[in-house]
Amino acid sequence: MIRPRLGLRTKLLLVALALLAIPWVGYRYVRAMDGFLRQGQEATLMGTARAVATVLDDRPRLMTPQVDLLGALREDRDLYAYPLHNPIQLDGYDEDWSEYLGRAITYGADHRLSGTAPAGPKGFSFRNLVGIRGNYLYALFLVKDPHIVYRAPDSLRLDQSDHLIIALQDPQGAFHRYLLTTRAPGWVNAYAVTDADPTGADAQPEVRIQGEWQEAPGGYTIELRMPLAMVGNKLAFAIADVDNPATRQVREVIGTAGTRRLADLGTVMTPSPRIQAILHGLGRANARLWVVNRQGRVMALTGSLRPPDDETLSTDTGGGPDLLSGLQQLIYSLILRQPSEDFDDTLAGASRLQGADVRAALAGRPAIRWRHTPDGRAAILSAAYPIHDGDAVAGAVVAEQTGNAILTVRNRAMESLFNLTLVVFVAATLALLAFASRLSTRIRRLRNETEQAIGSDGRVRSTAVSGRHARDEVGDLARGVGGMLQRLAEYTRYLEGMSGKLSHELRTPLVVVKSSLDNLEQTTLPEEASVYTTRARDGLQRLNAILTRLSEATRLEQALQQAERESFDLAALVSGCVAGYRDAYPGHPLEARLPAGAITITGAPDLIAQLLDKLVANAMDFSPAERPVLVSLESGSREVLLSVENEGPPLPEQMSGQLFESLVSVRGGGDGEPHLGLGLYIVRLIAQFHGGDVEAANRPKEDGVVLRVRLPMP
Amino acid sequence: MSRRIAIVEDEPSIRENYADVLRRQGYTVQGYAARPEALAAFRQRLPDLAILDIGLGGDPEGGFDLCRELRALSPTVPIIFLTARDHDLDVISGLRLGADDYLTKDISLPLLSARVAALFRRTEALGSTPTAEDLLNVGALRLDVQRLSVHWDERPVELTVTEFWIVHALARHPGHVRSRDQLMGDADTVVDSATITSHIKRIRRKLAAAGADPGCIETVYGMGYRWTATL
Repeated sequence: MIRPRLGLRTKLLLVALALLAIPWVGYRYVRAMDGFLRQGQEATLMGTARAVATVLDDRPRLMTPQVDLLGALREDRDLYAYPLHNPIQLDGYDEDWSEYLGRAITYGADHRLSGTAPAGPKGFSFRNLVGIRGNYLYALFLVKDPHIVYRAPDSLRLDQSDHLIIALQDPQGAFHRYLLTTRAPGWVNAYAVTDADPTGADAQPEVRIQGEWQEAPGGYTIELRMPLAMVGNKLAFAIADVDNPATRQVREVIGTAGTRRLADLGTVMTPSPRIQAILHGLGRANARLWVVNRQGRVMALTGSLRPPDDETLSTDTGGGPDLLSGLQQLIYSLILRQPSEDFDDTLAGASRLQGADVRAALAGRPAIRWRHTPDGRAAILSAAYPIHDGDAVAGAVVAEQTGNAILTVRNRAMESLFNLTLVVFVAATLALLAFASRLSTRIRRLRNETEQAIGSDGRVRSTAVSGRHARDEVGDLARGVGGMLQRLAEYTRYLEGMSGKLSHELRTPLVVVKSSLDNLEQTTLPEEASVYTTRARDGLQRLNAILTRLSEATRLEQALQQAERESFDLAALVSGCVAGYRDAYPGHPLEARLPAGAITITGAPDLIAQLLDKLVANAMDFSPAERPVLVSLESGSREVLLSVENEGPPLPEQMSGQLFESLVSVRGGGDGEPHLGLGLYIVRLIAQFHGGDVEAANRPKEDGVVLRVRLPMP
Repeated sequence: MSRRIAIVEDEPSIRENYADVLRRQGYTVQGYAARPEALAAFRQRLPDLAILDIGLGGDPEGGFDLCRELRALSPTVPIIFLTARDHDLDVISGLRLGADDYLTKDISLPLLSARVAALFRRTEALGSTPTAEDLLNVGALRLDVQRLSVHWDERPVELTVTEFWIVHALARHPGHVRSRDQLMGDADTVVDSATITSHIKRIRRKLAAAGADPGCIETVYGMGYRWTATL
């Protein structure tokens, strides 16, 4: 199984992934905070609702200024006058009403008061809206009537054309009935009619009820207004349809309620100005307060769910268009739901509240409800609290607020959490990376130094390990390695010095034997004894030679310590030595390839001569008889190459690296001369003393061996 | 009255072997194993010649101390270091302390006898006038074979016996190369070539101190040394 190599840095970076728990914990925290904030908002809102409810408690006249309904509330019969925000221009068009058009109630066949319906879908129907602005009650009628019949120009009767019937109870309780028709589209006035004069022939114009009649595709539109002072609690509208201009018979009457008698009328619900005034004082920013009566009819409304315009503007500003914050915004918009003030609040103009919270409050229980706007852009919190009238519930206060404030706070917390986490994560990662790099650098350096501390020859080059002053585990390791190298160096030195010590220790008994032999030869010995003394002396000489060679390297090392460097001509030295070797080795031809000029190097000429002695002696030993040994000297720009070649057997491959070490020899032995493998070791010592190196290699054709010494030029 | 030789050597076999050889030559030999007893005996009566080992029992530098003390007792008594230690530093230290010669124990006993005899001869000759056949003049160099003394321009050069014979061998045939082996034979000593090198170095230094050009002994690499005739 191959295990991937993981560096310290990678490992520490993996460990750093544990930091990812920070954003997770932060997220959990923000979520919990979100919950707390919601609870807080709920409690606050409920407190607001309760405070308002307490103000309205036990004020029955306030809550029930209107007719007490016997039956259940019917939205079609019991009209609701919306508080109109915009001024209404009586022009016969519905543009001014656009905000409320969705709430218009359609009256059709189900609301027929008399007459018969024609077959087919193109029936007669109308839609109605009632509103209040200022001291006026406004009404809009969008009538669908394919055949508009206007009042005949010569007719006094008001009931022989398409007309509007208005029946109401005035604040004093009197019943009034008005008809409104026209001879042509345009400005219209109502006429008061009485039971005595149902046709309106003698009717007096009621100028307070005025409006505009305009034709519209598929029918006509009536837009009118009357002073609120005229209107009590009860009101009904009806529209009579005349289709045949010839007969001018009322074919069908459709109304919001019966208009004939006071008892038949429906109610009209107008927001209570007094409650409105009370609420206005209690209103809060960004909150909406409703007061509803027992039927859920809205009696008063104040405030808006949307913040004032200037506030929304201020939240949008800030944040330059630079790339980073732009990227940030993009990420946030992907992750977080942004609070939006641009939501679709269908409830804004509602005439009646029917949510579960309102029902619960009307049943006497305070309730909280979270709901989403239909477009899902905002969450709205509503708190409903009952208004008591004695033991009975007179109505309820509903306080509403969007969750946008919490969402904003949560998003800000998320953003700052995200930013903080990013900073912490990046900082911690960088710190870990730096730490790991430093650590691995130190360890790598230690490893490199450890590897290089012991050369290919197995000698300890340096026991100095950097970083051993650090007071941590790596420092301990460095000290440990340093100590180990120190001991190894001492041991190596001991081993290297052992041959010298050994020879020194052996010398004393050798002297004993030698001096004894000398003494023995001074005495008269039997003839046969001299053979043995001669043999003893032979053995002694060989032993002596061994000891001399053994201590040679040690002595050389000592000599190297004292050697004096001087500048000398290497070429002359080599040429002189070669001349000497020709005398010394008459059995071997010696070829020399030397440069013509002088090669001046700095060093100890005696030692270089000794080096050459060893190289040549070694080459002579291996060279077959009568085969030439080649000594060559080449100078490069920076170094001199001195090589000695012989045609002896090639080197065993595994030996070439160790050849220059102490006590290593490739000789088969058996020629009587002791070989300790110190000659090339001495060569190496001298070469190293001069800052050079040595190598042994087979000649390219495997027909001999070449030993090269590289010496640097000054 | 035979001459008295003191041998200070901690190894009894070696001490006795040396003593036997020298006794056979007619000397009176006194052997000591340690510094204190040797010093006590020297204070009683000075020997005519002392042969000292450097390491004496547990005292690795005992021979040097003893040499210093003996030289304090007598500035003239010949002192030979005979030791297994052949380090250059030891040789230099020994000679600086006033020893007349520094021999390694490789030396054969007959050679040792010859060296002892040479030293006695030098001591004797100090009083007498040199004869012409004992003198060798090469340029500014004058060698007195009888006294084993060397002068450069009439200035004395203090050489050990070994060094004297090396200079003698070189100066007798100016311009001729003497190999290391030949020099070892001439000096009647068994030393390896590295030792010869250090001897040559010392000789050059001493001659230079007397005013000579150290190049008077020229190294012929691969062959040996020669006395430069032109100087």
